[in-house]
Amino acid sequence: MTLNNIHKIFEYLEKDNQLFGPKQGKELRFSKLRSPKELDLSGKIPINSLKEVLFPASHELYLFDDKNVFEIKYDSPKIVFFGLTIFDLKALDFLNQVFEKDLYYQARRREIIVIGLSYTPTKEDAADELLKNYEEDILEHLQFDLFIDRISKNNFKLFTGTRRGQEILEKLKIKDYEHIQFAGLIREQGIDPVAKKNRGLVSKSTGGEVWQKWGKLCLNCGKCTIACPTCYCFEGERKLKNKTKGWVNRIWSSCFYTEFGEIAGKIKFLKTSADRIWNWYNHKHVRNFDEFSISGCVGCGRCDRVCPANIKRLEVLKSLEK
Amino acid sequence: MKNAYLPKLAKILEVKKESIDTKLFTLAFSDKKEQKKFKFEHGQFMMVGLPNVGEAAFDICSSSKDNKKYFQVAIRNVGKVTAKIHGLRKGDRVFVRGSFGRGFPLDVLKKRNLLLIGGGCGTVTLRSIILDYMNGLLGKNKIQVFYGCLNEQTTLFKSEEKAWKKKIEYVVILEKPSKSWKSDKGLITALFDTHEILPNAVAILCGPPIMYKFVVQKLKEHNFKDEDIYLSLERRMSCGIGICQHCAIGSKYVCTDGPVFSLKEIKDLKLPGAF
Repeated sequence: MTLNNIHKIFEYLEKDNQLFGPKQGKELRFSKLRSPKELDLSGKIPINSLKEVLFPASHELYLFDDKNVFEIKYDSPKIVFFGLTIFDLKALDFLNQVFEKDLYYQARRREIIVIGLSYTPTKEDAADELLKNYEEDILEHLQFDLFIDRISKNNFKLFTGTRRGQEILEKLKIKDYEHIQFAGLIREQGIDPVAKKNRGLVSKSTGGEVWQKWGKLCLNCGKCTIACPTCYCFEGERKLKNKTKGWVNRIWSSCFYTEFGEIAGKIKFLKTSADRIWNWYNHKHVRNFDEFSISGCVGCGRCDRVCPANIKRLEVLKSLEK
Repeated sequence: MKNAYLPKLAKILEVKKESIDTKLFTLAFSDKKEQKKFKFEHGQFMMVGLPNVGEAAFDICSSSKDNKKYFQVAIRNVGKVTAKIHGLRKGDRVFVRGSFGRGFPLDVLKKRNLLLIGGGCGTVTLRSIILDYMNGLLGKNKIQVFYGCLNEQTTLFKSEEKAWKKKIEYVVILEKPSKSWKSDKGLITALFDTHEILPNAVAILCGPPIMYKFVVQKLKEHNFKDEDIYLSLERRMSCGIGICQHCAIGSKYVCTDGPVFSLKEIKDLKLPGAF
């Protein structure tokens, strides 16, 4: 399959949908795409993620006036995510579970067509445990409508993952594809041993000296939580139109902010920088693992790339082994 | 799928001043059907607020006998949201979500002797247990209540004490009482040395973390098992359904796994700031 075919898919979907995917500018960003030429098929990881579209930094939950509150129909435009690497497909599957019972998320998710793209390792991003485990069957355990395997600049292999994906190709009379039946997020061999090991490491280190060291380095800026495709902490924000009318937004929050978790009387439970960085790792590797049997960290390495203190995720995990 | 974030309209049926900083609010859902099907577990909480200000978590402190008519929360004026609610009067509107969380196990409340230990405004949570006991909804076990407070001005439920004392051992200890105070004086832990503790009891603790630390020590001295000590934890609640992360402790969420935990469940969490 040639690049021309990929562009055909793009043009077909463009008619009814807003397309988002990796776009090269100053840096590779997950952005709105206006033409197939803007789509970057290099397979590198954009600095930002699908989270910004799927679970926006701010969106309306409900309206209110002086008498009552009013549910609003959640904005769920027709969207295509074009070119998600396996890391972001994993993130998407993870968020689907977190927000399984969230009306707003699910409304938007339903309208999204997902097209995956094979990952090309680069020096600046993560070539880590996920990549080492890049097994043949990885696609069977990810959810997508279409998946593009980039063999070279002008040679691609196509996979379908859903009936919806097949229909797109049928419409375009593309017959050269392979269908992959989704076999659940967890592989037949059972729970990912790396995730299991990391759960043990973080859990065992709770309250340990090692976090003091990382706490001293961490600036608590929260950049990692913004860049992370699976960080989903949120809170309500009230916006007033006038004295009585307004609306309540759901906005992103970060567990690194000192007021996160603070209760009346200025009582804090995550008091130190060490507490907060531990909590972040504990959330990803312990709480999320216990909830969903998969790690909350997909290994994309965005946190490493944005950290001003140069804290590297794999180094943190390694330090817990001592 | 239910919209868990959308609050429901409720009416204030009554406001009663309980102490210098706390008021008892009697609330009912405006939708009568909603109120009729209202149920809660002792120790569960409601999110109460005003959409233009915010919402906060308050433990339900009424008797389940009155579920079809109303529920009650006692609110201490300590922040932005509570200050606004304190300004409201009978007939005014508030917005509520809930009930949320896991409360005290009902079979334990019904079958075992109970040592209820409340510190400061934490004692609010105990009121629903006391009232249900008084109303004969919790069996024939015995109840002993230790309530520690700063002084007479901050003591809650003074008008109900007399009735309660007829049926249960209800001991109030004040840290800094006035000169006229004739009863127990000091910290709540002192009561373990001056009062006979109920045999085969389960301890139920509602209060600040510092109280938990010292009361747990006392309970261990009195051979309470970890699984017989229940604590209600206070954390920041935002979503109420275990997603937003504000209330997380270790591997658990206070809003869904708690707010009630047995000591056995949480003692190994090695949490920053203990409990």
